[in-house]
Amino acid sequence: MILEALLLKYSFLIFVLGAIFVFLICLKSKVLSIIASSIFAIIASSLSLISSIFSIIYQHPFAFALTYNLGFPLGKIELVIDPLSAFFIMIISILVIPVSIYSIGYLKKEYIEKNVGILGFLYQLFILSMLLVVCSGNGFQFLIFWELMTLISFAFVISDITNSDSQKAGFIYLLMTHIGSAFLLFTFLIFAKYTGSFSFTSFHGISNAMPDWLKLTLFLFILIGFGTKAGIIPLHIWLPEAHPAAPSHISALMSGVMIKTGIYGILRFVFDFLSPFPYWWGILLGMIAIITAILGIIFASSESNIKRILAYSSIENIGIILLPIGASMIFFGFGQKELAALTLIPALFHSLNHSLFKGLLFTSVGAVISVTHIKNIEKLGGLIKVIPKTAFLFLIGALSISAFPPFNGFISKWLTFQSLLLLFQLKSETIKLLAPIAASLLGFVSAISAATFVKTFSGIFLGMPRTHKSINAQEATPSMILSMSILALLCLLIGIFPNIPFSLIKTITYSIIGLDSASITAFNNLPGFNNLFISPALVFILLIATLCLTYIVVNNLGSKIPIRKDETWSCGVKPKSEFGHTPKGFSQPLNVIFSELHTPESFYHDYIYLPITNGLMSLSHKIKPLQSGILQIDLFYIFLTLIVCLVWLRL
Amino acid sequence: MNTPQLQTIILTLLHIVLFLLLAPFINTFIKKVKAILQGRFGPPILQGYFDLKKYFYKETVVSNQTSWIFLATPFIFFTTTLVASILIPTFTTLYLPNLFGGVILLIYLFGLGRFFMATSSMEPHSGFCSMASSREMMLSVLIEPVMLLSLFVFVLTSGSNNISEIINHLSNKGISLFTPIYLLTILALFTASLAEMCRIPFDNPETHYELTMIHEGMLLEYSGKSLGLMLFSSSLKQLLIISLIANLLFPWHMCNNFAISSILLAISIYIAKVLFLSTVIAFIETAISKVRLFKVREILMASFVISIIALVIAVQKESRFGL
Repeated sequence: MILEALLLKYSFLIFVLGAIFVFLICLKSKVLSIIASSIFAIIASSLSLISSIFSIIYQHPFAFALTYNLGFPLGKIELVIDPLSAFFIMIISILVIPVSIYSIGYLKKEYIEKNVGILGFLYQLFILSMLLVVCSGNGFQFLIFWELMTLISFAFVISDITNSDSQKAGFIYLLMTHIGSAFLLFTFLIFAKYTGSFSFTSFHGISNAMPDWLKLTLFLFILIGFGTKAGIIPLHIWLPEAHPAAPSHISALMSGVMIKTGIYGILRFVFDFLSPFPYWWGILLGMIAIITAILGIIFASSESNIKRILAYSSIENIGIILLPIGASMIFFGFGQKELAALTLIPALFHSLNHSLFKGLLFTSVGAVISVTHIKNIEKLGGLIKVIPKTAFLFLIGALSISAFPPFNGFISKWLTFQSLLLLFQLKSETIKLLAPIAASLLGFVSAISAATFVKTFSGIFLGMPRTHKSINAQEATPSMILSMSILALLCLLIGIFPNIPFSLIKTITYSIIGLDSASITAFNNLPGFNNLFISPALVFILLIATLCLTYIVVNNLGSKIPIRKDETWSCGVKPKSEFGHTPKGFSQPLNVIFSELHTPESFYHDYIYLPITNGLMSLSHKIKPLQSGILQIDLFYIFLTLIVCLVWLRL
Repeated sequence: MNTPQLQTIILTLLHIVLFLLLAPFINTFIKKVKAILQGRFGPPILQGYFDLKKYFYKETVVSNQTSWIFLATPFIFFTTTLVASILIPTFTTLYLPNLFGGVILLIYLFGLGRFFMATSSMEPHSGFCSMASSREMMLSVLIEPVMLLSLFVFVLTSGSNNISEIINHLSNKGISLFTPIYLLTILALFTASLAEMCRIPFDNPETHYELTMIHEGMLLEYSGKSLGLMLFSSSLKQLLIISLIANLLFPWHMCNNFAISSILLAISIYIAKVLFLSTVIAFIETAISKVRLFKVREILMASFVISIIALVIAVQKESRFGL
């Protein structure tokens, strides 16, 4: 067995052992079980991280199979790790390491009186299930792991059993993801009907045998199935409910990587199983992506619950990730495979970046909530004076997610812009027109996102405290600060040296599209992509150098009187905490401007979900008379079904 | 060090020095022209420099609610504007360092400066500052798509996202440059730029009534050196945008060799372009008044539609004749 497979196998083993160990040891000592859970997760995910990076760098055809023979119920677990899987293993593992460090301090502070043994046990299995989802090479087992991932995260959502809101959130989450799973089940069954097996290797290229309408139906099915998990609007309704209800380190994982499994699914199916496809599928996906991004961020801009702001912003970022996937599908549909591979890069790059900065934001928000026990930003404020380190780290996260140089968000957003502008080369007027408009709407989205994070940051940390609780806060524990610093540092480093992840991702996208990496030639001649390797570092150096120079010059120029601190001018009266704008007041002009777009949350419930439920209810009322409750008639139905089945099989 | 690199460094430094020297002047120049048009005498032409000197010798007082962000923001705003100035050519297109990102980096550097300004003006917890901050962010949401789309029309028709290359491409076209596509795009870009420069009809830079201010409102709690640096950076940003549009409107007569005489000629032509555009802005400011805050949306939406029309024409033209 090759090294990568061995490492991955041990990593899975450590997760399972960790789960059992944590569960047992929590009877002895809760603190020990928290630490053990973190250490097991760190070791296991370090192994899987090394394995995934090795398999991306060294394996040329990349694919290798990993089999466990578990006997009767599961049989042989087929795991196929190709570059696409390896990439998702990588982003899961990168986020799990700092989040596990964070969980030590966070759980000790917040959850010590609760059942940390169960929490630790589920934590191990949750990460394991996410890894298995992206590694699975068999449709049937994929669905099992998919369900496992959903159910464990459901357990996290409802972990606060005293809170009725989180119970409701859990219910919506469970319901929505099961609707998604049902569509996936249909898809896999249809594939299985055509291939006679559930193995992913047999799915490859089988869509040539399918009629066009069936392919389109399957495409829509996977958009619904995986889109529910990823949070595409209007399937997103579970996301802003479920993410805030979970503990913060789990929210970081759910928002950072769990919803990306939906992206994985879409990529796997579209480029692997359903290709070739017409180019307009890409336009469809691009439009869905833009709508998701715009509505997601407009919702975020008017929210007051910190974790819901971040959840809505995850919806927006899913839109931003799907947009270049759409562009890539358009190129693929036109047969321009090399450009398809190139335009896919920002999608994967942004997945990586989003998991880092969203992880950072959720962990720092978790720190804020754990020191103040307030989730509503209208009641926070002034925290930068009591928890300056957390404030600084949150600021880095906010700058990264708003896509400002020199942080990582800017690199992937810039690549997305480039990808969309590349579409102008195609000989189709519709696309030539839509692509630049989509690009400018992306600018619109990121401007709202900047406004949202100005509001969030200033609402939590700046000005005067709006309640007394936030005055007595204390800085987060060292392990929490350490883990947030790791994430912040990664955000900055990727922003300065994007060429390292860029070249890794490039080989991955070439293999997803099905190109030999030897054919990477035209790449360097494309406008905009050619000087990525030096410039981000140059921009960073310029920014820092100018900042230092300005500081020195300005300090030595003019008056030498020291800075004096005094009260804020407020028309002659003593400043009060009511004088400044609240976050709600801050976002009011935006809400007025986009009042047409700003549909209330109940819109989706009233106009999309309610008609469906009503339809189902009335249908079941019509079927109801059949069910009389008399045993003989019920037996007759069974007999009738048997006859019908026998006749159908004979034919 | 070989000569081309040395030339690049010298010309880039010259370019930056020119920007820094000219910025306060242009601000006063617009005020002066407006004053003359309105029948007033106006400030002395060097008032911008006097003001800066005055602020630099005043004591700096900050609110006791503020943290390091409030003091760092003037430096960050200045830095982002100065780095952005490298992306916009003034009198030469040849020698500027080729940074990645082009127009996108430009917009996002402005965004970074704005992010810190809006954040810092939430710090003193003053009603006026935070109102201005919230309005500035709202305005930026409307400006950014228009700026991006109109710049993208230039990017797509010239095949590069580097502003120097766009200007070179335009200057090669000669007088046939003035196509409907080009004029409509410039119109949209100019409208959005007025908003980005905080000019009438979007914002009134000269008002002293807090409720009408957007950009200036954010500076209310600043004083002394910090205020001086903030005002200097704002005028620098204004000059950047004026130079961008001036050079897109008149892409000719850029310096293309290292002779002293041609550099001096190019610099004087550049200053003439900027002064002309500043006069146009002064005329606009005299002719129309500031619109209501929420009417701003209509103007910017109109210019978004104008750039879409330009794009439609560009696409049609390309598919018919082959660009």
